[in-house]
Amino acid sequence: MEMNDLKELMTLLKDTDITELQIEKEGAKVKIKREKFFGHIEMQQQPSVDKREVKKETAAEAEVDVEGRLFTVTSPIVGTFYRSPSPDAPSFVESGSRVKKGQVICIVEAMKLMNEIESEIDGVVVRALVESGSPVEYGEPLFLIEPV
Amino acid sequence: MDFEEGFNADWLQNKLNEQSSIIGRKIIFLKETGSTNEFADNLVKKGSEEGTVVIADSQTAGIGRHGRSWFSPPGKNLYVSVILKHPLPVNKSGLLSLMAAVASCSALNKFASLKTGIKWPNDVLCNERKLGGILTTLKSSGDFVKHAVLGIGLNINISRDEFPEEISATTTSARIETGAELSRKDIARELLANIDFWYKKLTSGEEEDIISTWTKLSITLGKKVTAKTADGFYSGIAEAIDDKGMLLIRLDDNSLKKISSGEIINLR
Repeated sequence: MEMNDLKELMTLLKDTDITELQIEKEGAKVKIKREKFFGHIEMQQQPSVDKREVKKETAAEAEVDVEGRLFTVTSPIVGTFYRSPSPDAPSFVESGSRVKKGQVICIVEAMKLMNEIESEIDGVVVRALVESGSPVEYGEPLFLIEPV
Repeated sequence: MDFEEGFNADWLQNKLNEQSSIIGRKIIFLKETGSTNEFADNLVKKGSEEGTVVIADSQTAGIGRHGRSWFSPPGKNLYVSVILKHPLPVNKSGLLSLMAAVASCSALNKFASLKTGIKWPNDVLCNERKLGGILTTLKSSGDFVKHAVLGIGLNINISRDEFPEEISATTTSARIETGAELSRKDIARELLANIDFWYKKLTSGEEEDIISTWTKLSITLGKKVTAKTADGFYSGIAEAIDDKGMLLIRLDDNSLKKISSGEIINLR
């Protein structure tokens, strides 16, 4: 399901009394819920990229994480995650940064081996999911990137 | 360009070629550079082949782990970077770090008659002082290594009073330990030949040899250690390394903690 489809669906629902709608299509599940009196629209997409983060979001900030729409960068190794090349240096990327395929966006260090993680796509960083200096596991989501 | 009599790229390349070495197929000598790792990184971007070696007589911005500097005056020491491109599984890439330490220790122990050892994961120590440091940068694609740059700094002929004061108490050199001026060219040749030997083992799936030799050279294993990691301090007995080079510490409650990243700050 594309972003435009979802937007259209939300617009259609706005003028109805329907407060909750769940659609499953091609393995992707979309749930749209709204509070009737406040015009509050909340969307949840499963499978969620990072459940902890989704829980924290307000409805206004919720991301329409349609499968394949947002790209999740994951850690290829167990190690320590760094957002900058050294403690005093600025982060490689921030939320909203435009990134090119092949651009270094973070480092995961293990055994004094600095694994420079590159973006695999051209896109915009939606969010960093891990704090710099934190331990990360293999396959742990590090960034969400929206393709452009 | 000779760094000392007869120590130049052609001599080193010929010596290594005699042994069909992958490492040193191409060798670049630089009088001075920012850091050999950075120089090698740029070579990688231009498509330099596997085994390319960069050796500098001095570095103006030698780098250590996470932004620390590596003191790199001219005419004294070895600053070497090696470009590796074999698509190793990225979860085994930590062994590159360990094999560089094994290669360094073996070269120093042979040519400088030293008794150096390895503090996990890859600090080269002699009499509890740091003689060599290794920093590897790597890029991976999916679960495989795209390329790695192995950076090695060895303190060879620097004297105690030449070190900056802030590191003087914790560092040493082959000359300080032996009292003699040493040939950088012999140590460099042995170091690169050793890297070639261990790299071939690693890329042909014989990594257990790296682990067993690292274990023999280790000054960490069997000791009471404190590891400072991203999620806290862990104290216990350093028991072993696993097949990826991670350190296994037997904690006081008898559980086993696996350390992938961090600093061993206390050895007893």
